[in-house]
Amino acid sequence: MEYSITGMATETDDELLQRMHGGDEQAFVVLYRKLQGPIYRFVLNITGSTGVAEDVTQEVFLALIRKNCGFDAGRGTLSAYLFGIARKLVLRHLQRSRTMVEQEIQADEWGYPELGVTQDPMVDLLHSEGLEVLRRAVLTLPRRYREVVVLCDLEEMDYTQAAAALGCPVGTVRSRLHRARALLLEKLQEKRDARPEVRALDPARSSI
Amino acid sequence: MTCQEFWSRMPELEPEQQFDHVRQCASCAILLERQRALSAGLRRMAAERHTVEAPAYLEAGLRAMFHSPPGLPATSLRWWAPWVPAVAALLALALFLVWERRPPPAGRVGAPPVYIAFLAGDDAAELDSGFIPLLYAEPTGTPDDDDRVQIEVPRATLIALGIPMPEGDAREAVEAEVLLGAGGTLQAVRLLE
Repeated sequence: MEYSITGMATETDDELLQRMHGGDEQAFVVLYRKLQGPIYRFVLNITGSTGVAEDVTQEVFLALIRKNCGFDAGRGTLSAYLFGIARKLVLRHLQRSRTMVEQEIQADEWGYPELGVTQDPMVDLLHSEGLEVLRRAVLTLPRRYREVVVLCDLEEMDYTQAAAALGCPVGTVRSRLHRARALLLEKLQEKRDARPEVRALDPARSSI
Repeated sequence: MTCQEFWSRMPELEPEQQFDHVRQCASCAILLERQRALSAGLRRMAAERHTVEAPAYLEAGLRAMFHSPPGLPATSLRWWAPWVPAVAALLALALFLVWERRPPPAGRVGAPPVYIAFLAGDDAAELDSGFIPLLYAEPTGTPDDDDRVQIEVPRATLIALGIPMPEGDAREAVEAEVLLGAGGTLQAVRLLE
């Protein structure tokens, strides 16, 4: 059975949630279509696994379906609440599976696509190979830094939204993001320096 | 403005103020350039994934669960995922067994079994016909044209069957002729190259 979602676009998330808990499937569909993308991408970018992203997204919205889901509009937005659930589920997944993403990535370090040969490693980020290296570098960040990069840089949330989603002060988001970007630059530079052909092309580096 | 002041105030600095400092400080200029490139890379990464969404069956499954009685344990909509390798292995095994046990071609049913000379005695030796019998093969009849099939197989496969092979790339395909016994079982192999 298909539903028309026209006319529901102007309703707030809280109103839709109330209707949803009253048994209105159409309201659930509107909420789901609005929020599933960011939740799914968040988990995918944190874990690097589409399977985990699907499972967590399902769990998050199943939690929402339950009437006693625990959401309190006075404490924050529905989006932040769902991100909070997703974070806990991701953390549980990472703890349960002993194959942490970081370990997998570190073990596969030399499986990274190589950066193009240029003097500045950052220039390579404009190419697809460079983007893949960057994607993997993001996955190797410690989780608290990975989260802020995913939310602020990849999901383009502002500091306030990210802080609400992570349940921490805005200042923490700001400082973590600053540190995360510095770590990313270090990782990309390390990756670059590890390439023998780049050292050979750069006399200053090869003499060190 | 010191480097520390520059970086602590960086996000709020006007472009002209940024330019004033980096013009005098080469290291900050390089670092600023790299940060900008990193931001551009992250923006591009975000743009690439912006349209990525959960698969459609997730919504269908959740809508189905929407009306299910509360308290029912939720099962993953990807319940099949852990079974994929096992099912694939079972399918491969089933195909192998079906292939091995397929009935012989109609034309050959009832053909009088004739002793295969080359399978007697030294079964590892290459005989006049050039066929090399396989160790496990049972003698079933004389090779005739109907029992012979030309194939192209990787050199590694023939090595695995114990066929002596000249040196070469194990992945390279070579032409061979196989001799099939009753029921289509492989009896002997001979190299055509």
